[in-house]
Amino acid sequence: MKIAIPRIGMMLKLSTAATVLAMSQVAMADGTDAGTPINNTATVNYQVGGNDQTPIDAIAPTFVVDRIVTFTIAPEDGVNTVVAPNEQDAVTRFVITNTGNSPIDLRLSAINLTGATVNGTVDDADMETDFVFLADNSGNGILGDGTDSGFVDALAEGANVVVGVLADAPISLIDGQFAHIELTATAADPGTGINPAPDGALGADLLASGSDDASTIDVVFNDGGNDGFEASQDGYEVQAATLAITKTATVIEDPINGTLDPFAIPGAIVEYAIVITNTGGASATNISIGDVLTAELLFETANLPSGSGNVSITENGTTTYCTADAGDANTDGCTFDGTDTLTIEGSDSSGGTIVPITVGTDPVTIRFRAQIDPS
Amino acid sequence: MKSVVTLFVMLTLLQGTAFAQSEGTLDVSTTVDKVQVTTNEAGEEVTELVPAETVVPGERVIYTTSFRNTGTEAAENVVITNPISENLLYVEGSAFGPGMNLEFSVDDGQSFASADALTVSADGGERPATPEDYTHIRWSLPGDLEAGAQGVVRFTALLK
Repeated sequence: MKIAIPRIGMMLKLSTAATVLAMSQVAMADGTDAGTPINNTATVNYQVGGNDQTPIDAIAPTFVVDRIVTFTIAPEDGVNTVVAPNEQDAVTRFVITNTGNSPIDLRLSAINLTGATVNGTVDDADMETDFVFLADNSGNGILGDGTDSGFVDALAEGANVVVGVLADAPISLIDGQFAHIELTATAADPGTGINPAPDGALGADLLASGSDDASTIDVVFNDGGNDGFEASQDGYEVQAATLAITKTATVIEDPINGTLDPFAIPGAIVEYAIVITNTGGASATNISIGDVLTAELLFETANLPSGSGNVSITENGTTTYCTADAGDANTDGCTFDGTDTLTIEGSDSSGGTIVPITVGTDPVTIRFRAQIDPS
Repeated sequence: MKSVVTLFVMLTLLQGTAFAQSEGTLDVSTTVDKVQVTTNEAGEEVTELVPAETVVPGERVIYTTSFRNTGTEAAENVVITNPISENLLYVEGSAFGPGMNLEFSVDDGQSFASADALTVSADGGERPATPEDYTHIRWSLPGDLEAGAQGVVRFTALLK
């Protein structure tokens, strides 16, 4: 049988096949590693005059699989991070997932948003702009353990990484404000070869490329926008302490009436109560209170009748005592300078025993006594 | 959406061609091209064959093997066997070769059968083979390839 293949017939067949191909072409996530060479060899066997001829290999040009860059970024929990004014390194966490066919480095950057609604709250404040990034490249789930870096290093295909954004809160922030940020990750060159390993260095930003060389690994962006970068938003909620302080005085006894209807006369004992209340969203810690007694008052250095110190601190229904002494010799945080100044420190940098003072939803009351100068 | 298919057959035959040295009477060559689908200004999808230079997973390539009898005698029992690369997935229905019988193998080229006759073992029984199972494509010319005659076979594969 004689085979004559008319060229027009080829054209028709080819058109039919290609139409089928055009129906859908969706790039697969993951897939064959970038850099993998793809070969194809067709072998032709035939005979002439009934005799086998040497088979002929028809080797197609090899091409390498190119890099398809596609990744996602999302907040880890979608909940605002609570931050106090002047707090440093407040962390929001994001998860970046590489759905491409090659490891990628990712360069990280962040901006403050203006007026954006994130996590159901509207931005009305800004964090400081000196953002710091921690990428958990080791995958140990811990940020800030010294194994992190400021960029994502060769994130493997199909893998994800947690990235923390560390931001400082200006001291000017007030309770109830929201400061929202946007983290942008930009795909960068992970290194050469197939499946390059983390190398501790951030490569240059990847650029979409099409070469005229089938043996070169080109870059094809298939992320959102086909631009090689993705962004995600998260936020901070400001919870500040709003403190109010009141001071009341009660005459306990006087030299004439004793404890029965005492008057504030020379020699009388007066108990002062300093009440600290917090109407803000955050507890105030490490409070320090100073009180300067007027010249007519003599600080009662003896213990209060109710307990083992000359100053009482009542917090959440529990009362503790400290003894105000010169130079805080007993390192309990309470000091009386011997003349007129009482100081109660919520913390003691010396590391000694201290009276912690935290004001949360319950007020804190500090009591001490003084005598009206009898002379 | 209307599909406009634009193919450059002549161009294809010139691009990316690796000519095999032929001791015998057949000249054989294989080319590879990428199937590129773009959307034109009118919103129509345009399919083109472009050089297989930028190819990523999920894209399709077309391998075309052309053969010509440059001798003075007819070539008999011309059989073209093409293993499918492990990173490629044969696109169902894409293989063609005018006037040639088409068969596939699912056992690494040991045996061949037509697509509808192939089965593979599954769960203790047999099931019809799918393109994922194919390891080889084979085209056979039932008659002679006369001196001066030529032919072409082609298939499309998806890059895994």
